[in-house]
Amino acid sequence: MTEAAVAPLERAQKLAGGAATVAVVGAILLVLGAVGREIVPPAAEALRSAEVTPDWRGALNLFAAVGSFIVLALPSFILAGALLDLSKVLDEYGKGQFFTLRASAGVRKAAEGALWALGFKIVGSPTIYSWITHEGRGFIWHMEPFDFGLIAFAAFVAVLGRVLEAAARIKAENDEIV
Amino acid sequence: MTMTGVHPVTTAANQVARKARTLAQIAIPLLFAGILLPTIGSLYLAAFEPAPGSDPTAEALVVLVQAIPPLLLAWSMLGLTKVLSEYEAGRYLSREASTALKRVGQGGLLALLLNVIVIPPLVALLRGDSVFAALNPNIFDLCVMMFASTTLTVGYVLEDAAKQLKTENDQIV
Repeated sequence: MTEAAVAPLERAQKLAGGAATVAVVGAILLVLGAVGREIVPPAAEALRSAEVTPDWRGALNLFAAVGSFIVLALPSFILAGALLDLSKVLDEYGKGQFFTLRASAGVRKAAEGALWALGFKIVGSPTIYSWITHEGRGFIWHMEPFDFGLIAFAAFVAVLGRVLEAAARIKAENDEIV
Repeated sequence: MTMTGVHPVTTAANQVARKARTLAQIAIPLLFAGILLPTIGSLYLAAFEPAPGSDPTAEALVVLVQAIPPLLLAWSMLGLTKVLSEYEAGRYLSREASTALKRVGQGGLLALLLNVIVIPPLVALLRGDSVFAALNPNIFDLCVMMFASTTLTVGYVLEDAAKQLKTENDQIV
């Protein structure tokens, strides 16, 4: 194999390996950012406002304050999980395994995680938040036009993942027969 | 991707790709409709029934500017049918499929960057609000950008792998 043939593959593997690390670090930082920005300040505010007293009622107030904001931060946590799935895909690519069941399934799982995250962002989290804080009883939608495009993007990646997974599964079965 | 004498991927997987391509061809026009129709409605309201105290021209421009990222994202989805056409033909690791996938990822990331970094300050400028205060992306937007850029990286990696595969095949021939 000439150097010209090997170069793109080596570049691809290096890129994949580096990107896998970046994805893991990014996921951790995003989770920490979500906790630090969306959960800690409201919890601190609840502590400062003397709603949290050293008894069962105070503990419930703290749980309600923190829990309601955890619900709002849930989409970010789910998307961080999808990033970890993508990092596993890139890990496989870094080992030179581009058309395996594990890599293809990882793409599908990551995209499905993104779809769940969008579902929670648009309807799940606002609805559960309103139920916890007694602001309402029905379903609440917070959908912007851009969310529509994001759903399409995540669905597109999920479809690709499913097709690749089907193909990789059949290839793996055929390789076993051979 | 086929090997001489042995087809590791049967028509079953290709049929999944064909169904997915048909669904995509139906869904993409609906996506454009889902973005354009509310935009037209908002444009009408901004221009002919503005909120008291607001400038109709500025509000109409805000509606148009805010429609750019979702339209760009929808436009980039058009590359999906090209990717699925390649998969339908059994070419899962072809340059065309990987390049089309990369272009979809690039369009998506550009739309996200516009939505998070460019459009909010522009809207603030049109409304006469503080520009720097508008530059306040939330954590979810950052997560989505990270997800899109990682997906784009997958596209780049597959493209390089497809180039290497093509070079190897050309050498065999």
